[in-house]
Amino acid sequence: MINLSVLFHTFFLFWIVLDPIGNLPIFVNALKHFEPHRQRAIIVRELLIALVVMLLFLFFGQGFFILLNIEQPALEITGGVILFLIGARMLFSEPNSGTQKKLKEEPFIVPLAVPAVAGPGILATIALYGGNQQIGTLTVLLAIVLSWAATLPFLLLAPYLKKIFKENGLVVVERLSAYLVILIAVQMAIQGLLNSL
Amino acid sequence: MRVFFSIALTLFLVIDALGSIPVYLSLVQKFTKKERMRLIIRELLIALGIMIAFHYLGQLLLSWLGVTKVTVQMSGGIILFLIAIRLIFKEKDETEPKWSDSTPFIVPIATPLLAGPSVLAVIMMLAQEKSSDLVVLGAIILAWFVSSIIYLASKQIHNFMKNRGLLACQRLMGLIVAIIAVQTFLRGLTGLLNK
Repeated sequence: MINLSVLFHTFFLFWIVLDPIGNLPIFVNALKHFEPHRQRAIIVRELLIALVVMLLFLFFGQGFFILLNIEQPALEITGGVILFLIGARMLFSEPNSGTQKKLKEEPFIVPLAVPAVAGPGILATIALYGGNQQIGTLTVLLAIVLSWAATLPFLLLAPYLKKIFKENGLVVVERLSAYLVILIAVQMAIQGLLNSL
Repeated sequence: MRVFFSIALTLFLVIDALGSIPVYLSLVQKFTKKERMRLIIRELLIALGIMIAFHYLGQLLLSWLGVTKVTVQMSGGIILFLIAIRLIFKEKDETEPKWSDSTPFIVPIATPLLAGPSVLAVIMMLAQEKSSDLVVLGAIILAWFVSSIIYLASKQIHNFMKNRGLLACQRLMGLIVAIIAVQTFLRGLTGLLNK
């Protein structure tokens, strides 16, 4: 019933699109103020939320977006703009200034679960594969769960990066990774714009 | 039919009944259950009146100003997006404006909590839609009705979901509003480029 090679192919594609390594900078940045213990709890929680969003999208996404007349480019542009705003906030936040208190707010759903993990890329891929009769919903479901499980250990590395780089090194890593987040965001938005025109 | 649902859903998301529950509850906490019910039903009806009035006012204003569909779509998309950003990035402890302790009448529950500036802006933007008057009116009433149920059951919903759960809902809804906003803007942009 389940074609193993199709499953593996789908799993691998989803895992690439979930981009655990590319997401690391976003996680490191959003979690910098928390103890490693707390960080792990947040990562697991956010990833669970992302999984729920992906599964919801698999089952209801297409119908919902068809109902609202929403096309793929709108998803990409929205994801890009929101990530860009997050990146800009990261880049221009002064360490040890008044804004720090605000950023100490625990990340919740935005930006980690959505759109960093369950972003437009993976949602579009899920919609594409979920609508494919030859692959079957069960295979896609399995592929989502497997690729999600394979993403978790990578993101759990985020707390250790802080140990390796220490406080000062982390500031540099932060700025660099904020820049990376902005790059990813603009790429996402440009992709959407190109697709829409 | 599709237009009807998409308008109703957009309005429902912008009214943001779930996200307003904590503010509403803090406003009416000193009233008994019966007083609270009377109060909220009155405010809900006033809000509906304001929304319908703005629906006709919007049509009048837009035809006066002679704006084109492209303009409305692009500006509407931008406005909706800004609303969405507020929903998405709202901090948990963001301070709401302090309202006086007197019994709420029209302000602050009917407006701005229910029929706030963003809701009225969206209604005015919808006035330009090709679809018939009846569809938009029906969508307003449907969105209002669902929001009303949420307000009437706000205590139970709050006990069940707590502030954190409501915040989660608000953020996810904000994301959907953002997507709708971008889609609206894109439609305006492609309309402009195809001219």
